[in-house]
Amino acid sequence: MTVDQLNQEKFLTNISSRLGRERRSGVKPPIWKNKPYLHLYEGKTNEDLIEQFIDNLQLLNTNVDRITRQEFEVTLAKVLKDFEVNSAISWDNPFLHDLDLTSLLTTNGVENSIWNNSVSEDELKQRSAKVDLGITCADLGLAETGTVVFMNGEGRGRMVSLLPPFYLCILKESQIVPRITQAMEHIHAKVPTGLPACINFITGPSRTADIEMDLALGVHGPGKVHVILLRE
Amino acid sequence: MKVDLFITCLADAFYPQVGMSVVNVLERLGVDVGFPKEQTCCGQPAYNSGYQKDAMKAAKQVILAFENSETVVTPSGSCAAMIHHYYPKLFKGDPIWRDKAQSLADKTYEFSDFLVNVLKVENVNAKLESIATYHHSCHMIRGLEIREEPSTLLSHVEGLTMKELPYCNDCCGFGGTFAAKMSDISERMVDEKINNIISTEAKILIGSDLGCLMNIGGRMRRTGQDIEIMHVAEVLEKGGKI
Amino acid sequence: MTLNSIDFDQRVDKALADPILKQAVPFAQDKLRNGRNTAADQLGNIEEWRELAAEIRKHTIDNLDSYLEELVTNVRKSGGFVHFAEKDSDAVDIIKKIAKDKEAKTIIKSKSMVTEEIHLNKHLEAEGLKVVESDLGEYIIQLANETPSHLIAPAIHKTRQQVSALFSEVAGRKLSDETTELCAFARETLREEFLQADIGISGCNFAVAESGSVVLVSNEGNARLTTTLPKVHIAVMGLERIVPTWNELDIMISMLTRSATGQKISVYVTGINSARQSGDLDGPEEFHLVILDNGRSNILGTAYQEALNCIRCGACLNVCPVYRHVGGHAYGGVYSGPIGAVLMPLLEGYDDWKELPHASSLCGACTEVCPVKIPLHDLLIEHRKDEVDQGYAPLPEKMAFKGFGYINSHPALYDKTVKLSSTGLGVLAKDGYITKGPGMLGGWTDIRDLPQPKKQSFREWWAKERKE
Repeated sequence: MTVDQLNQEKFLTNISSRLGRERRSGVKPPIWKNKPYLHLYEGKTNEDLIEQFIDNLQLLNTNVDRITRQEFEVTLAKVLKDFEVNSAISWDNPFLHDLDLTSLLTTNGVENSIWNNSVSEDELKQRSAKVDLGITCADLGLAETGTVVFMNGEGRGRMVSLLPPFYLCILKESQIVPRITQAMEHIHAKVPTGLPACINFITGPSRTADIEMDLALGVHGPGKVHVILLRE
Repeated sequence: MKVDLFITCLADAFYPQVGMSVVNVLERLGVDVGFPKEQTCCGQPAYNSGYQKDAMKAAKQVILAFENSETVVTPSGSCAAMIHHYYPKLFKGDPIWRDKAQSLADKTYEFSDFLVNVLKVENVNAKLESIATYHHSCHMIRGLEIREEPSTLLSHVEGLTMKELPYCNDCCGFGGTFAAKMSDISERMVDEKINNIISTEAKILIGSDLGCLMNIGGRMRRTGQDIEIMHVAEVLEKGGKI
Repeated sequence: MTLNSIDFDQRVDKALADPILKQAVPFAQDKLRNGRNTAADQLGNIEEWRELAAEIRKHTIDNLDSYLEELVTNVRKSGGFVHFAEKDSDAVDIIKKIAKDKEAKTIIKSKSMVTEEIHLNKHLEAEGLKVVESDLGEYIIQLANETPSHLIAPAIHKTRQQVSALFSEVAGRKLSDETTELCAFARETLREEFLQADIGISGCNFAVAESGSVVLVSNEGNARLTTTLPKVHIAVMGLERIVPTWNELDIMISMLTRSATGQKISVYVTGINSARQSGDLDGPEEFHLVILDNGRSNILGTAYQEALNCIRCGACLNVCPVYRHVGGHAYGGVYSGPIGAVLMPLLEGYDDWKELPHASSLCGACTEVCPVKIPLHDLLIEHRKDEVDQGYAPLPEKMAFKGFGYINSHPALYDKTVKLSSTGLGVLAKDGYITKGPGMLGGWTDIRDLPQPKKQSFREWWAKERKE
């Protein structure tokens, strides 16, 4: 055994002896009979969940545009105008490419960078820190909380949803699930094949109440968030 | 129905009129009340201060005193909670005494709980012209989970206007020896409680625990507040006839 | 180790005399606990949630060695480095060594109570490193050279004027006391620090054993910045902060944020599963997990084991009437409020912390809201018992309760005591009340009057009335 392993075993054996038993390995959690979250979404239709998702985000100063694919161009233009966006950075992602995002941004006079290795990492970092808007898609939306959930990874930079003052997330109605439970099941199912370095759950704009419990937005992350929900 | 009264040390020595009120209200409701003389203090002061061995001595005496009782009623949420939760725990290593403790716990009722949930009485035909507010003691609401019963009984008292007490779930700062050991913190707690009582414009503060009433009442007297304190039983005894 | 230069009584005096605390703490408490209560009501079945959360915590702690082993195996499998630290100084040494190996000059931190516990900043600064706290509240108290006064709202004892003064000094110009301006200044200043920091240090809200992940919860986004921008990320976790799988994490996150602030979820929940992977163009190149014992394992298998269920939501602080009036600093330790009063004596012994278990009226409000059902007020009673058993109680009190036990187990003597109490205490009374009592009684009469026991006790009335 290496020093590290010896150290580890000493640490763990101390725990088991404090617990008054032999060392255990490979314990799996039981199936929890109690499922207190079921009533939160039983009997709810997809439409209910979508409305709940939108309502929850509205309570957090985040507007949701629920639109068709055809309306995307107009909606995007409006968001860019409302946020006074001149520059952006977006994920290198087929879903976003299918929306013609880059060319629409250019049409609206927005200089866009795409998160891929066509530029250096340092340059990506500098741009993320400088641009007005970060744009990503999401893997899931959580109705109960108004949360967007996504895995980061290749083409899906973490900084895009983090450094710019404005953040736009685009997802499809079919991606809305009831609550965090479904997101956790989704992640749990992916564990055997390996998780990406980072998974994010984002619910509205960055906020703090650390000064006299007074709410302020955007202290570290984006202070303004917008969501576009595509009808199918 | 035969009931034995567990008077509690505070009522016995400091507020005997509360005990008399309990007896009178119960007898008016046709209950046959007894008073086992061998009873002492429930032991809570020692238990809460960490003196479990000394608490056990008192607990055993109380268990013995009520061993032959069918039902025990006490005008204190706190002492009832002591019997319910901590007696069985105190004797967890001693099966014989643990069972005796559990059997006492099973037959012991706080006064309002007994009236509403055992006797199924909500209106005792009491009458008292005044404005009052009710203090929910911690051991009633959290220890015994008895919240509505006293209010239900008081709501039927003729002439009595009940005002809702702001922050009614907050502790008054009694806490047994805490009140004496950390009197400066306790002072802030009781003063906040009194300010809330004053804000209701009540003339009477009603409670189910004499510890709290002794604390709040003692502080009100010290600071010159003219608000009377009464136990629920005293209120229910007023002007009552069956 | 204690950083207290003044004793408990002095700390309480200082807190009670502080006009800012008198305003700020109840205000913050009301906001946070109302939020929690609304969130609990919205669930409709909060007791079922607490039941399940407690069950999960119990199972996890009962099998802690197995889950920790699974966790570290998975961290290593995905390229991370694991360090076990038995004591606070071990954790500090491990982190110092990483900083030295990486030739780090600046470190950015996201909010972490466990690094407060090991006084990490002080030790790293002594090595010449620049350490910057990035949570707004932590940044404020770092500038003020203070310690957190609340688990989740570390600077609730500071006014906006005080914050403005602290920030103005850093800015070199006078800032207003508007929240937006102060936050904008913090964003700008700290962003610079983030962009050039060599190492990011975070705590760990929950580690997930099945995937070797560290999950961080934040509203500001500083935890994301800390774990994204610097080349090295070090996460420090108390050994108990673990869940078996993401499915259990579901319940824990659902309870944590609702209990802490009343939010259904915090703005950011971030799972860190490894250092950057192939194809990633951001994220740290190295990930280190430091697992700290520092007295926690001593709690396993004892009457206090449930204290390790704690998920650091702060709900017990937000309902505690003692915390309401003295704030966090009076407790003197890194953890304050009811959970602090339970934990500090366990982690660091009674010599420095024997008063804390007594700083409670045992009202049970803490136990009622705890999302993982720690019987906090019962554990305080347990501490009081252990203090008595281990000789920490004052002798006069011991004698008094010996007398109490004797009298209360001898009914005839008890009967006599009750009957004599009126006359006995009567010598001190005036108009039926005692206003200045000796000894223990003095604590009572310091602030309130004590009624004189009645001339005729209940038992005397009964004997007379019923002729029994």
